[in-house]
Amino acid sequence: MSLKGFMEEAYGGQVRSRRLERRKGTVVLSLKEISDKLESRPEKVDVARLAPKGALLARLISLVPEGKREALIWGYLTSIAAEGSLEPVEVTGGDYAGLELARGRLFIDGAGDHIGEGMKGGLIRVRGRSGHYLGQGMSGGGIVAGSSGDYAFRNISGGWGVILGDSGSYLGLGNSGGRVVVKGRAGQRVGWLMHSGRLRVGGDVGDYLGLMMSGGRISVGGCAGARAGWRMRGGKIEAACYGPEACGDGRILGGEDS
Amino acid sequence: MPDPLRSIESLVVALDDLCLHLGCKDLQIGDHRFNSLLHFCLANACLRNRVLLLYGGMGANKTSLVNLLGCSFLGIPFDDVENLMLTGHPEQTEEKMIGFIDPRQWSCPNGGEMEILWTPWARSNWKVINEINRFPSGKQNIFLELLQKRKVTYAGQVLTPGDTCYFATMNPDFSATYPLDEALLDRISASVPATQPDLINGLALAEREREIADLAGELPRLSREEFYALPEKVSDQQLGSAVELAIVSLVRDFTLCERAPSFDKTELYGTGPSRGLCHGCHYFNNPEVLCWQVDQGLSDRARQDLRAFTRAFSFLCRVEGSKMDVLRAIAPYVIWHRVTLQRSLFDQPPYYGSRKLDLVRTLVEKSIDRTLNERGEMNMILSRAMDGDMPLRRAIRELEEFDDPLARLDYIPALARML
Repeated sequence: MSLKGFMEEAYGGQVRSRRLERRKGTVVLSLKEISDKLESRPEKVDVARLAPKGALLARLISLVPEGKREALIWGYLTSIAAEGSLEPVEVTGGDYAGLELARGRLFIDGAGDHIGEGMKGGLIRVRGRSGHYLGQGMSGGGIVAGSSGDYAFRNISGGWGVILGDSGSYLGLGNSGGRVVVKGRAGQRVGWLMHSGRLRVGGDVGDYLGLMMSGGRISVGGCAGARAGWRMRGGKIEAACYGPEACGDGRILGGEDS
Repeated sequence: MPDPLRSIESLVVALDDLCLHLGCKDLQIGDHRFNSLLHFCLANACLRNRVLLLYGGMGANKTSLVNLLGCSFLGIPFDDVENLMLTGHPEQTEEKMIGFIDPRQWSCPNGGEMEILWTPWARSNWKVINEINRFPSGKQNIFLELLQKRKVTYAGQVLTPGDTCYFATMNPDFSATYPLDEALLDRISASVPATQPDLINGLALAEREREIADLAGELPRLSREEFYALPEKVSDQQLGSAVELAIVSLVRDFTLCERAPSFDKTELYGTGPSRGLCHGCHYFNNPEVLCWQVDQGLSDRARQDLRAFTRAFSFLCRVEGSKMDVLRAIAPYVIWHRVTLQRSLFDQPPYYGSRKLDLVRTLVEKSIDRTLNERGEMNMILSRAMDGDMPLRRAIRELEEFDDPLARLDYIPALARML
């Protein structure tokens, strides 16, 4: 039988024509697909609901996000991957890695900004320099980074952070808890508006150390810049030496309430 | 010679009277419902050199059913059928399983060919491998050779048992079980789940006072002529063009992938759709397309088994006319144990990573429906072009508009080679 005869017999002369229906299924395979499925600002619980598992999740966190919205989703996915894995999860680059991490371990190479933002538990290890806003708003867990940009460990209420090299300005801004150690130097306004918690900088710090701080303790191994403790209302500052216009005399400045 | 199908039908009635738990009638063919476990066993007994795997927990009557059928089909006592069974455990050796060198020849050598004492299991035409996954992986390879070559070799001697019915049973993963590798699974023609008795079945079983071995004597028996006539009766069944086309398309649907070499889709160890092989492909995540939903595809053995079991069920169920309903019903059982599904899809509700047969059934339905409906026009274009009734270039142009993986990866390249 010819092929034509075979087909005609198979279809009995009733051939319907329809093209392949182009639609997407429920499996999420790209950051954009997750982004499209979420209506407003991505929340971790929504991303977790849509996130694939296993190798596809690993594949998603190896992608480079486009735009802030995808970066937030990518950040949540890195946390979801770390929380679901017994082994440390390794990612490369990108902003918002370890966003709201609750447990697990995340190792990051060449990190961007907002690493470990809002984290509640677990461990983040940044190999090399991290960008700005490292560990911002964290309430638990720990971060170890080679060095950091500005606003590191800002507004933290718990957890701990270690910066093995230097930190930028505004370290520990508005903190109400937690412990932070910088082994190298730090920029200006370290501990600005700090309410509680501890900061330790091994090297020198810039001007306005502990500006308007109301509690907590700052310890500086090197010299503080100008106006250390300026308009300070509480807490303690300790430095090897102070620049001009520092409040108080001697090695320890501070109020009695701390 | 009496009609063997009548004998089989009376056997089904007799088994029903035995109150043997086989589960519910879960196999729908046309307007009728059948019990998948029983009817796949019957179909395998009608075929030759196919392997049926019964998969389920302990006490699901897998082994009892196969032995009862052996008793009836071979016309021998139940005890003798049980003796033909090989049971898996780690201490099973090749000598215990298939045969050993006759030690008597060392004391009185006859100078001739070395004599092997083959075991009854190796010589029989009704081979039951009980708890196949309790054999360690190395020993499972003995079955690989047997199922592939249909021969048994030992110490340079070859035993050809002839056309044989193969059955195997398998428990879920326990501490004393070993996984079956993909090569062995591919040689298993069909796999049927066996379920534990539910409350109603349990009550029915409680009413049965006598043991199965005692009841086996009451089963009707097929004569030797009837048993040997079955394969011919099955092969008399004609499948028809539509079923043949659906089978070929089904196997290709489970195998297609333009990013993997055509010889390698079944052997993708390092990559696959679950590992990002299909990322960025426009077919990916389209539920209408099957290629991305399966990590490991089908071999041509699946096609042969689909044809064989469709014929056997058509014979058993006395299906007249189109056999498409038979194919729809049996194809998931032929396919599900051979394929590795895309993990993300499989893990989602309603499958939850465990209802593999259901997901494969859905995929089979999609493929067959697509072949019968959407692919009609493109199949006609292909056939006209292949038969010279249509210019090849025009056919290629028209096929390109369908955006069907089968057209893109099989039809168009085939026509392009003819230019």
